[in-house]
This record gives sequence, C-alpha cells and structure tokens, in this order.
Amino acid sequence: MAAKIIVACGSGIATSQTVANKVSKLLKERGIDADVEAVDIHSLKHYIKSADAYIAVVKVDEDYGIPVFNGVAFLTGMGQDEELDKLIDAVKDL
Amino acid sequence: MPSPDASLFKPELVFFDLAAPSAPELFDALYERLAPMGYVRESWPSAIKEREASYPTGLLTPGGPIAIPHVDPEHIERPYIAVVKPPRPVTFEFMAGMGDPVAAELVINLGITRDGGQVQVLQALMDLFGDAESVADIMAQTTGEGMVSAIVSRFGG
Repeated sequence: MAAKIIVACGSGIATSQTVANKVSKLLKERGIDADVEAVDIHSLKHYIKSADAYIAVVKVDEDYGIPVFNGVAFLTGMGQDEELDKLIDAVKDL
Repeated sequence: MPSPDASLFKPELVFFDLAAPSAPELFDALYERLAPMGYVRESWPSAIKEREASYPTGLLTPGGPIAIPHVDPEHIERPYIAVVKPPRPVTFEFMAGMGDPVAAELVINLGITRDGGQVQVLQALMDLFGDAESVADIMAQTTGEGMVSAIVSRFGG
C-alpha cells in the first residue's frame, strides 16, 4: 500500500505544495510508492488521522503519534539527503 | 512540471531602497509601493504581519539568508512577485523555528493566487538559491532590469 504523507504550511498553497512536489519526485526516484499531499495548517488535524508521516513547514508543538520530518530541508535542499533517508526508513515498509 | 511563469517578475517590482529596521516596517514600506500599482488590497499589511509572526519565512539557503513572506490570496489584487534587496539586512524568524533568526539580504514577496503557478516559481527560486554562483550574480545587481534578468534567465533550465 502506498504510504500517505502530509505536508503542512500556513496556507497549504505555497511552501507545502512546493515541498510536496519535491518529496514526491524524490521518493519516486528512489522507487518508493507514496501519496504526498499538501494541506493548510488548519486542516492538518483532519488529514493527519489517516497519514503515515508528517512533513512540517511550520513549528510543531504537538505529538501526532506519527513520525515528523523537517520540511525546510526539502525546501532549501540543505540537509535534504539526510531527511529523505529518514523519511524513507519510516515509510518503506508500510 | 511546467516552466515557472517568469512574467511575474518585473523591474518595477524590484526595490533597492526600502530601508527598514524590522520585518513589519519593511512590509509597511513595501505596501506603499505595491498598493498604488494595484497589486495588493488594504488588508495586506496587517495580514502579512500576522502571517509572518505566526508562520515565519526566514530561510538560510546555500546562497545566503533570505525570506519569502506571503499571505493568503484574498489579500492580493493580482499576482506578482516583489524582490526587495534592502540597504541593510532585515531580521526574519526562521521558518518553522528550525534555526536562529536570519538577517535576510534578499526578501522575495510572493503575491500568490490559487492558480498553481506559485509552486513552479518557488521551486525554481529554491533551486536558484541552492547555487552560490547564481546568488552572487543576483546580489550584485543594482537595477530592476538587471535583477529580473539575473533571476529569470536561470529559470526553466
């Protein structure tokens, strides 16, 4: 089954979409089957219930019970490879 | 992915003379330029200050410290991208609290709508800021025409 990954930012239309596109492409290149979806922070609570991983482009001050990853790394590319490896470790066996 | 819409960048939307001691004051100064040109609505200054306070946009990129402030589309009259190179760096909080505040040397204000084009532009900008040589060229620009050309000539490659 494809892993479900949620990306959230303040609006759900700029940084989170950009990060979602990037992550989607990177996972595909590594042969990982995943649905990556961008949402706004206010819809996060709704979407996160069915998600396997959360990539945050906003501050995280809550425990959602699923692994959380640093979206800024995917946005700027700094620390991206390390974050991608961690993400793949978390979703590859789903 | 389609090429980014380079027409969003315009020489008259590049500002070198917006001196401000803080991000909110920079937004006020930027509003004074954008509003007469019909890009933003009256609600824009308070909306962008509030957004930046809740969801900051300072970033440390391989090319240097920048900020990419933006607000929801309802405060935008028509799509634009403004490029501000302030005389002195302006402090922005780091996006998602992932680091210390950054002294942004370039502020790129995304006047975005829901048409989808902003993703291509933001991705192209981030690719560009991953390349130190491109950024050195951008930071060396002193005219609006030069800045637009330095940025969009590297798009779509």
